[in-house]
Amino acid sequence: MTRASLELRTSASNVRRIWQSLEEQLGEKLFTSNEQGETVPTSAAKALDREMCSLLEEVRRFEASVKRIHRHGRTLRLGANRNVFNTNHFGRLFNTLRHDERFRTSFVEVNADEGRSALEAGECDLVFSVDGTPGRRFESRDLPPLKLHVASERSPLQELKVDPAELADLKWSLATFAKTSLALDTLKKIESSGGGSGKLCSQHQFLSWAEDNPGDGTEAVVCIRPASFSRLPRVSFFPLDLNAGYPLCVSYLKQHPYEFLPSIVDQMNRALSDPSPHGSGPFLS
Amino acid sequence: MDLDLSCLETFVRLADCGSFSETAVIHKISQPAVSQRIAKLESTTGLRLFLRHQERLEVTRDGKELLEIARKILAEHDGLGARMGRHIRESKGIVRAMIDASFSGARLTKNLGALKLGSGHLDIVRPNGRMTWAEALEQHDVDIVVTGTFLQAGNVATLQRVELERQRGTTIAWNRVYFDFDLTDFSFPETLRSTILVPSERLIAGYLPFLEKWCHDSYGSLPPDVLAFDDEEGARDACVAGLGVLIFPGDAATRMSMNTGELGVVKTFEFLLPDAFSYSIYVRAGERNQAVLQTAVRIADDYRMGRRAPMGHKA
Repeated sequence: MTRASLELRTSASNVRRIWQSLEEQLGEKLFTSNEQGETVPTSAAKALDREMCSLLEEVRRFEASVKRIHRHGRTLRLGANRNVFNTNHFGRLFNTLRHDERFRTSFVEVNADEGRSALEAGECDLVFSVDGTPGRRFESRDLPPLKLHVASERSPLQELKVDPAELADLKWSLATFAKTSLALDTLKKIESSGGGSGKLCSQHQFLSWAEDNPGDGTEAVVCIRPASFSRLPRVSFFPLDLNAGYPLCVSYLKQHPYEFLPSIVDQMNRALSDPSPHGSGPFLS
Repeated sequence: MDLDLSCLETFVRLADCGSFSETAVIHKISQPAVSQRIAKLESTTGLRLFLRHQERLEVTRDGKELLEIARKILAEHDGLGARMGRHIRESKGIVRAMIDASFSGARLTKNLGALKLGSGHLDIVRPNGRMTWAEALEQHDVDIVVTGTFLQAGNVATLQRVELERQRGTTIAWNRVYFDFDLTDFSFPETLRSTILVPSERLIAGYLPFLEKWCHDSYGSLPPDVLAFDDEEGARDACVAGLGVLIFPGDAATRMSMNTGELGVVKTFEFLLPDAFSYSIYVRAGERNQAVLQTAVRIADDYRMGRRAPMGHKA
């Protein structure tokens, strides 16, 4: 018994428990003791040993299949809405995950109000959003925030970074991106940093302004810089020199079969905090 | 990997029926317990096995791959249980016989119930819903089967049969209050216009499929309702009560102790179906266990003795 428990890396009492439950199921003794006090297998034990082969073989096949799926990489589906997806920030973390051999990544478009059901249904494993996904079944963690840029047709502005005070002379808007309340707070913060007065516009309005000026007199838009446009934009982007931005939050099911989700959130955090423009990996130039 | 059989079982069941609540009912556990088992299996494998859409469940690609192996594991586990059961029976000298619920079967069960076999005894079971009698025999769940069969049913290479009785044709019986069939100018298709009472696959394998095919091919229609019985007594009582027309193979009136004064009885298709019904003892082909073979002989003797002194007809 001691040897069995050592080989099975478990306690002797656990071995005894399994042994007894087997005997109970079979209705037959599996081991007896001889005069020397040694444990001797009965003919039932020998038969069980012989007859179990095919069952064990199937169990091993099951384990081998699981291992093979793990080796080829498990599917990791990232969900986000269109706005979040269309940022360099997201592109960077997508690339970070794409290079990880433990999984194969794909992107699923998930609208802001669908994050919860998409996670519960298993349509995606991680949801990225500005507002987070509340619920006691979810784990939500903050990632480095999305930074603000200024889009302007007056190119190029003198400085590499735009001071909020430079906005005071311009007719400018802030693109909302997510919840309006969040945008209002950000708007106030820019205004109180000497940015004069601006107004809010939707992400859609901002994109059409950047692509073809509708002629409403807007000279600059404070925004999260999109990764791509459907047409070439007429504007240039400059980072806004202000400690403000939209938060980015990643959520997943607490009871998720992938044990590595917390660790890859750390990994994404590191990659996004990395000042290198190419995201993760060694900083070369 | 710490695989749990009950989780695998729940996984297979849930994948097949697609409903948490139904799976819970089948397993006799609560619905949260079903979810918990699936969650446990998902976390053991580190894989998602289901997508939980609002109105339906979908097995993922990984899940489908594992599902097939899980099925095999469960089948192997069942098989192992049956083989071990047989081993233990053998070592204790116990023989397990499955005897059908016919009148002959009931008499055999009564006579053989207390049979001593050397150091062991005879364990008698009835056919159950888990598997067919042939499967029960092939998978070592039982050692001997005594049952009626029709035409080719039971003619399998893996089984060996000792025929106790053969009967031809088909018997049709009915309650005359509800059915006024013309005895002298009997028309079989007319009986198919009401409910028919027939033996189930567990009572006489092969009969119901044959009858349905025959009705379909020869008369182009099936009876409005078919009541299949697992036991002869139940079928006879239903016939006496007028629930339908009884259609059983062979000399059912004699076999099932019918009062022919009370019921209308016709024996027909004797030339079309010679020797169609048989009552036999089955053992696995190549059975070497002496206790099993001796018991089979003992059952055959008992049956033949019983035939010489049949049970009295009920008045």
